[in-house]
Amino acid sequence: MKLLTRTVRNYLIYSTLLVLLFTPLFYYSIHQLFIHDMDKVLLAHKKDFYGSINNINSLDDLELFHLMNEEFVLEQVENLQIGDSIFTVDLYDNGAERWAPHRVYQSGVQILGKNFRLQIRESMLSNSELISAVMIIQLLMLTLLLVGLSIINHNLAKTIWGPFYSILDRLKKYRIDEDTELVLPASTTAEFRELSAAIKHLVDRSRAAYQDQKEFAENASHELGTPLAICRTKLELLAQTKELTEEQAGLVESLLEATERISRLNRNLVLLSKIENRQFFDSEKIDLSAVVTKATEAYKGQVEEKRIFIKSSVAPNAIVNANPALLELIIFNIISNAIRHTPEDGTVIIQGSKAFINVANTGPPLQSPEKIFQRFHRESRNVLGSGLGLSIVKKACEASGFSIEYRYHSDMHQFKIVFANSSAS
Amino acid sequence: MKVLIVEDEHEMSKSIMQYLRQESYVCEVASTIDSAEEKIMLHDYDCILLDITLPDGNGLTILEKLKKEGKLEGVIIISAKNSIDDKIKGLNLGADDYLPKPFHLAELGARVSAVIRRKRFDGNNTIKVHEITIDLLAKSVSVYGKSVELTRKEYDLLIFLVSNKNRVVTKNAIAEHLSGDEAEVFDNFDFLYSHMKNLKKKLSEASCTDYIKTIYGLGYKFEA
Repeated sequence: MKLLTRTVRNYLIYSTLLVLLFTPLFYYSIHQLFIHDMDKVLLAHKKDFYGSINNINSLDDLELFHLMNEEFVLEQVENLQIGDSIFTVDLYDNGAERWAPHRVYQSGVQILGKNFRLQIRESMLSNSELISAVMIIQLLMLTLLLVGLSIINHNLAKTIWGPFYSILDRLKKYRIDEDTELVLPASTTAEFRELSAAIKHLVDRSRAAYQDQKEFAENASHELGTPLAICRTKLELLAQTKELTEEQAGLVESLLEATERISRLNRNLVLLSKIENRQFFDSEKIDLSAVVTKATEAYKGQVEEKRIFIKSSVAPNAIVNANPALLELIIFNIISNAIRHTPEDGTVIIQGSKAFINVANTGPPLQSPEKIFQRFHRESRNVLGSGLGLSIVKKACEASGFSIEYRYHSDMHQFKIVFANSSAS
Repeated sequence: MKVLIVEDEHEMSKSIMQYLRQESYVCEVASTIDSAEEKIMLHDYDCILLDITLPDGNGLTILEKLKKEGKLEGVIIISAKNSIDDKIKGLNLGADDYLPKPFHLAELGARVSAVIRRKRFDGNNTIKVHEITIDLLAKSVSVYGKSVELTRKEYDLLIFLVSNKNRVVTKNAIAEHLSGDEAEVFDNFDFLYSHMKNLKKKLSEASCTDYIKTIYGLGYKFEA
């Protein structure tokens, strides 16, 4: 959950509860107030009534009184055992021409020696209308208050947390392997200033460490080059010696073999650091099919030896915008990787267009496919390789703005490289 | 034939000298730009091996000087930098070839003999080893005047061996030579063995002497 929602949510829950709880309570108390008021009115009417009946001397007077005061209802009854009571009942309202709740005072009276049940009725229609009007206004006000409060809170939180989000955004976009310093936005809030400073300190230190390590790898592999070259040439000279016995030749062979592997490894490490240093940047339009053909030609010997069937189909108009050295590196490495790991009599399928290239080869599934682009990761020690081929491909793809992904599908290892920059144009 | 090696790494120049001497080249070594320029003024060389990174500057300045004086010998740039810029710059300045370090001595031997052949015979040239005649222009091989059909790889293989004749050429050097610059070399020499087998078979079918000797596990030697 986002920080902003979390704070606003609490406000919202509190306000909603308040509205839900207080609306019925409010309604109930207003209602009670009205009834109380009405009862007072009824009791006042009762007083009036008892004042008036002293002036009634005949039945005709009673009739007249009845006509003049509609709210007083007198009904003749046998015995006078009706107690005083006040209650609410639905009655037909002649004025409003509909049924409406009435408040009624009921009592028994004796007029002219006869027993009557007296009911004093007061319509509650106007009162309930008033209550609903008050309620609607109240509800509206509360709702507006709630909405307004949450909007204000939301905006306030947004402004307060603004620097935090922009720090987060810059951090996300920052790449330690790019040669740029991290610039964090200035903030007037002390906490965010501190956060910025702490992050900057951490990032700068990691960047320095990263640079050191990169430079070390670069220098180390560069410095290794010369002694390795000397070592190899000396061994080759040793191989020229006339009186070399078979045993000695075997030793020289093993040494040459090992030297060869070290220098290949070293060459690839130098290449990797070159790519990481973005030493390849000029791009031009390159015919993909020409590069693929060149690569398959280069590995023809191995392909024939392992009786691998290569099915290559590259669209004739596949023009890719890339650095020529990097693209060759990618294509050569990805194809040689496929050939290297295809068992005998296997198949390699290459499909290319201006938007992507897909290289697939048969072979058993990997044990740990997630490590496939890692340096020095090798699935088996039986297949000799520097263990750098695919990480070189990955780096070269990154440097070219291509994306690469691996998947194992229908018994084939598949590498798909998408040339993002050419598909966009 | 005289070769000048401009290289500041002493052990390296010593190895190159030792290897080329077996092909009866006369080698001289210069380890700085100054001494190299001095030697170039005094002598004519058939081939100059030029390292770019020298203690007193960039080796390309020597190339510029040679060009100015019209003394362009066959120059092969040997560079540890392996940068495409250097390669293009060097070749534009008139260098004949560019060989990135580290290289196999056999590869260097082949390049040196190719450069010298081009210089000597104005491009129109053939290599003759006893009964074998290689026409470098037509890229064809004949034994006792009768043409032998070779594949491209077999032809390259033969040239490579002949250019390093009487010296052991290691399997790795051959594999790398045949794969070309870009190819990541496989640690598998099976394809090399089959090319070699086919080449030897085709030559012997043309009743050619078996000059190609297998040297234990090390590699091959063209003995003539």
